[in-house]
Amino acid sequence: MHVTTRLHWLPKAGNQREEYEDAAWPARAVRAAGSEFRCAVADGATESAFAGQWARQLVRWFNHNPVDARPLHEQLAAEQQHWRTEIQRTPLPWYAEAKALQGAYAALLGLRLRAPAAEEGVWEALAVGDCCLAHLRRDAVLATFPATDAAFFGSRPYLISSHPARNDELAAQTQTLAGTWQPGDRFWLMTDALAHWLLAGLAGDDAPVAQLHAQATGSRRAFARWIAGLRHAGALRNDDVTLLVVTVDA
Amino acid sequence: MSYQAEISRSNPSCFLFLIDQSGSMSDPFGGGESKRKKADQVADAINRLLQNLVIKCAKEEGIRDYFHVGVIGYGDVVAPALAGALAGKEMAPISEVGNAPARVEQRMKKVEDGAGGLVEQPIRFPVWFDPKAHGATPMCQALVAAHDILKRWIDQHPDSFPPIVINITDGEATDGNPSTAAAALRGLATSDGNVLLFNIHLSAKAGAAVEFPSTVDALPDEFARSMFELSSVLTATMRNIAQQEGYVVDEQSRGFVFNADMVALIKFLDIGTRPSNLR
Repeated sequence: MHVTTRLHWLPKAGNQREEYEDAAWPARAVRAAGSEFRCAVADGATESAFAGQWARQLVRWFNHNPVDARPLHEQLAAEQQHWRTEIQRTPLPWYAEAKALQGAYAALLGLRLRAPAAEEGVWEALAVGDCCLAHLRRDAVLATFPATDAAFFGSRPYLISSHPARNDELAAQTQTLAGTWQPGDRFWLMTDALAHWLLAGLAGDDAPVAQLHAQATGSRRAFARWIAGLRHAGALRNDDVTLLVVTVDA
Repeated sequence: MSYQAEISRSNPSCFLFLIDQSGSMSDPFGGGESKRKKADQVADAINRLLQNLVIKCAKEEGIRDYFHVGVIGYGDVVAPALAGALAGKEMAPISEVGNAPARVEQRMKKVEDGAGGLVEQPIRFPVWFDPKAHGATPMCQALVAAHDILKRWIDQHPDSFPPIVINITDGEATDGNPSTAAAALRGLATSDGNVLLFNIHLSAKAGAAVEFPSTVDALPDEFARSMFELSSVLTATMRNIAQQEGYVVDEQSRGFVFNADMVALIKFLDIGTRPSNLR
């Protein structure tokens, strides 16, 4: 199995690059060969502090930890401890301390690809929150996950918390889906603003797949200009944008 | 559609608090044997609202100026009431307010330990205002002052999410009927909608707290009913979030509470993704 990835990311308009709170793994374009490949995107919640750090931890965790049958909240205990240790390194003003006590929150979407035993390979996805995956074969969208339509997206999703007491519904809120892939298939892993745009477009006549494919394969600068145009037209919510393109071959 | 403007640092909104500091605020709060005075409740309400608003805007690098904040006290005089470095200022960015409380106290708070139990943990609690009760209740004057301040603010921020005024009072104006001045204040507008006037009524009367009612039915007296009538209806977004938070609200629910605080309102403001499990 050979996998290539390409990553596009942009902070919310008006924000600095260092204020970007999404995360992706791999964090840069890669070409990989092997029997298994993992990748992920995460989206730190605006209304929590140290959320970008938590999102980066979650994508790293998904990619480096062995598959584990324990409930997700148990698997994340070490990551939560690490998050607390990191933010306690320097004294915080009263408001940052109060915010840190609430914990950081992030959506996570992870994808695992396995090499084919026969003709088709297997993909398995895990999601908490409103990051979204699309599985494409040529120009056809075979599946979107976990969202299947634009109504899925609100501003109050259930997210993974760095606060151990805030994950009590995590098992019920974790969704999984599996399918099979063929050589040449593509996967788009997106954070919510772009996913919302895609699913709204799929329900209309905007041919969003061709548009997004053209932009995803173009330059970073062209992608940024395109996103700015969509935001300006009110077609895309002003939020951090992340698109991880994964192409898989035999 | 109104009340859709993005609240951001480049397009901030505004909170103006009006706090009743009149002599009647030294009366006991909530009836019965309570030793707490209405003035204590007012100080608590404004300190908790400011604290929660600052925390809402706080990120690891500091406080983001999603809001400008003003506080007008009314009692002996009607005047800006922020103290210390902000004394005399009609309006200040939320970051300046958050960085300049009068003092920061250490209090103990019960927090979840993550294993199903509770542990006491010291937290720092900022205090901007101490209880104050002296003079008459010139609420009409305070509403006129708010009108002047917000007219200037809106001239500078014509496309912002409309300013929110929160009036914290026992509802007994001594300078006339406040309905005309309140209507004029609610009549101010940005391109995104009219100014929202919300009221926190802290009464000496006993009775259950009432939050965001849509009728006067549960309100105990004419003062409460009058403060309800002055209050704006909650916006659709606020109503939706209130419902998700478990409040019973409908399309006529107003930004009014009786013998309760209004800290929940801070959650009803949309500045970006707020997880449903963030408490």
